[in-house]
Amino acid sequence: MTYNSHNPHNNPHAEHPGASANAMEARIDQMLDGQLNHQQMRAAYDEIRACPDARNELASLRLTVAQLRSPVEHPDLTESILYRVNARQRFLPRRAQRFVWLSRLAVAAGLVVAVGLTALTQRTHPELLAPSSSVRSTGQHAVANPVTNVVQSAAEAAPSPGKLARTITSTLVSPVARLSLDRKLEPEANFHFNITDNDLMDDQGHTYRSATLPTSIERDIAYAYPLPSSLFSLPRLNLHTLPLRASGEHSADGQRSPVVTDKTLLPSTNPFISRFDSLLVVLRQPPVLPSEQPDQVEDDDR
Amino acid sequence: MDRASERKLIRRAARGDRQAAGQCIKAFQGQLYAYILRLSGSPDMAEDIVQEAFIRVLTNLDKYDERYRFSTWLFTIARRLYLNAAQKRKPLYQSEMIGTQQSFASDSPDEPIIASETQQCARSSLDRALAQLPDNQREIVVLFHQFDWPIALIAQHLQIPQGTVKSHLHRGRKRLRDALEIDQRASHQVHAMLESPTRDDEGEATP
Repeated sequence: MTYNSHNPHNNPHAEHPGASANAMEARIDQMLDGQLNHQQMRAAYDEIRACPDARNELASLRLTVAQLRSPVEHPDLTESILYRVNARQRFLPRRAQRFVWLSRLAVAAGLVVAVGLTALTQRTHPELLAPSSSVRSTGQHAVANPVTNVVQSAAEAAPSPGKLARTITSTLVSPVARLSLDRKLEPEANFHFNITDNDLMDDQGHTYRSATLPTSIERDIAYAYPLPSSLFSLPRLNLHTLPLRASGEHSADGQRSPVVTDKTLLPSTNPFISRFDSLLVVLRQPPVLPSEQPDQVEDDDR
Repeated sequence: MDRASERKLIRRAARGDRQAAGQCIKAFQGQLYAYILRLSGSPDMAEDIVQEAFIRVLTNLDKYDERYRFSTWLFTIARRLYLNAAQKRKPLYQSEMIGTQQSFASDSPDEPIIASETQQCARSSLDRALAQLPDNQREIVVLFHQFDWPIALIAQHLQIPQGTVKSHLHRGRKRLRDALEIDQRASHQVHAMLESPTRDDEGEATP
């Protein structure tokens, strides 16, 4: 656009219309961009006022800009947005928010402290986490304390009962109702524990399966491995206070011979570090008991 | 809303205060709706994007950097949503719009139908004029003149140099003015065309 002043004497750019037009356009843009200070603005006004085309240009552009500022009607989306936000992230009162945050923090801190204390106690006072000395004796093979002695003596005494343990049926003397089994144990029932199948049966034919206690037999010791999911529940059951005496028989090469098993549930030294052997079943060869032998003979005779 | 009260409001909303979140929406939804409407030309799209932008912002308030204006963050998210949506469905703003409008004077047999449909979709002359601008010019003109964003902020928002923003602004402003003038002239012509047959009828009826 070229700007033609009606009064060439007042137009300083009259002799150079092209340059004048460019300068005037730039000046108008600067005005509309708000880049001029008060003095520069007044000078620009004086300059533009002298040029009708520039005046019209500025006026038309201002009119255009003014139209842009006209308000736009809009729907109120507040409730719709809040509803959808609430569906994703529930709004809570301030106190509730604080409570949730604090409770999460407390639980996390409690867990850290509990784990730390357990580990520390294991190192400094392992006897506190060892089995109770008031372990019940359930027969002629009393469970000794510390339990490691039982394991050692069992290992020394047993030739290799683990290899022959496939058909061992054991009668559990002590109740094991607190084990996490798939059904409630019948009270006052005799139980049979099939180590290889990991089934617990009572004398009425009920089978109890313990999904959390897979076992394996290594040499003369049958291990039961609680799964990680039961790590936190098993220590609370105080399994080590449940000495079990079992008797039964095993067969090998067609020969059946009686076996007495002392099963003692040993606590793990550290449930987070050890190989989850918090339940340990020890198999022992039965000693020949002279007092039992004549009775059986007498019974057979009758 | 000044920055201090804006910050307080956002902090309350970030803590899960529903009322603060509602105030926040009420304070900014008008601007955001106008912005997206100007960009897209579609009220439906503007409504969808405003809702989605607020939902994203309100569920991520913990990520809000208080050094920046909340509106800048909100507009940036809305703009990204708009660009994504625009890629999926074509915006109403098309360079062919004016051509369609100018073809009303043709003798096409479909002329009344087209005219009727176009009247239903009629928008203000400003919207039609904005439709003539390239996307970047339209956005810069709207941000600068409608929302008073400084050039530096627009440059940051669009990630282009300030000089580019200025040149787009100057060209866009003039182009918008020219488009408005053309639109007004065209509407005058349409009015004149609509009025002229009535006069003829009156002339014929007069003996």
